[in-house]
Amino acid sequence: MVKLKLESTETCVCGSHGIFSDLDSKSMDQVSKFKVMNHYKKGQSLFTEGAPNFGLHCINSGKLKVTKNGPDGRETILRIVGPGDILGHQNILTNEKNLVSATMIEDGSVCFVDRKFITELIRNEPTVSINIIKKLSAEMAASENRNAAMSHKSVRQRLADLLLYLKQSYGIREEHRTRLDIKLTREEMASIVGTANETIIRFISEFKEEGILEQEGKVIFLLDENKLIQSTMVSV
Amino acid sequence: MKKPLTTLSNEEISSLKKNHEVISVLTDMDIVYEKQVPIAGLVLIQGEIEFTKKYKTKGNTTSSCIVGVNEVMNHLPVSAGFKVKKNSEVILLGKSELMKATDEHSEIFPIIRKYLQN
Repeated sequence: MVKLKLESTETCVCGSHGIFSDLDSKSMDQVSKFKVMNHYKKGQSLFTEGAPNFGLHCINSGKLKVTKNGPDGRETILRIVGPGDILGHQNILTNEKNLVSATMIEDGSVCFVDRKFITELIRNEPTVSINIIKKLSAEMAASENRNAAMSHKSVRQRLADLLLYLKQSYGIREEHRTRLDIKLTREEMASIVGTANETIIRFISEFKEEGILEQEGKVIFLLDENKLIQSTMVSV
Repeated sequence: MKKPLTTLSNEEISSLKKNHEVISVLTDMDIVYEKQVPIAGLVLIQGEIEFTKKYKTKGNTTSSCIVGVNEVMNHLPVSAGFKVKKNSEVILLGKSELMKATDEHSEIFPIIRKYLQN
């Protein structure tokens, strides 16, 4: 007789706020049976570009960068993901190799369900399918906006866009300022914005001089959001 | 005492290949890091699996073998991480497939059972 312990006892944010949040308790029990939750350290990869898709990852805590390597081997950061976001859904049905890599930029925990299980769930549970479609739509819209920004906006405007996005996603209000609860290196910021490190350093200095932001160590604090919003506007 | 890896016979590999997709690994692929629960069991058909501790290589195998199956099914962390080296051929066994394989009518049940009985 083969005895099996099937359940992970840890709870995941995907059950309460993510793609599984509309499931009934019976279906949620099934997810718990098939789920694996792991703790990852900064720098560890969930998956790499060119590797086969194993299944769906749901971020419970911590943040990751989603990257793609260029022909010259240089890494481009496509987006930052955090708690409640999912990864691996883009090629789960097509069974294509991963088009991107996902790497922890801080310690965190991630839940995983295998491809066969999530495919069955997509077939049988419309709420999961709809929630995945919503995620895909949001990601497509963000990607289109980013593409448009690359053509129409200056580096300074794109950096302002990034800071506003970080404020919206990871901002914590502290009296007269907002702390960005994410530590990105200048190199990572440059990769997201699509420019050189030196250019990012120059514009961050400009924003500081204009009273838009301040820094304590590697942590950025936004002081004047309205001025930052003005910086994102394309002049006509 | 460290449990040695069990090599699969040709018949066992044929049976697994008949029932599961063989994947060619084009780039080095970390399956699981030390002290994590693997997200899939792995059958090495050809190539190499490297075992790591604290990001350092502690050993490797080039023999056909199954790794991680017991840990996936019983939600157990591994004592060493494992990485599939590029140009290997593997079969990935997710939890769904493993649960199906524990059905006694499954053709691969006798193979999988050996790795679940500890």
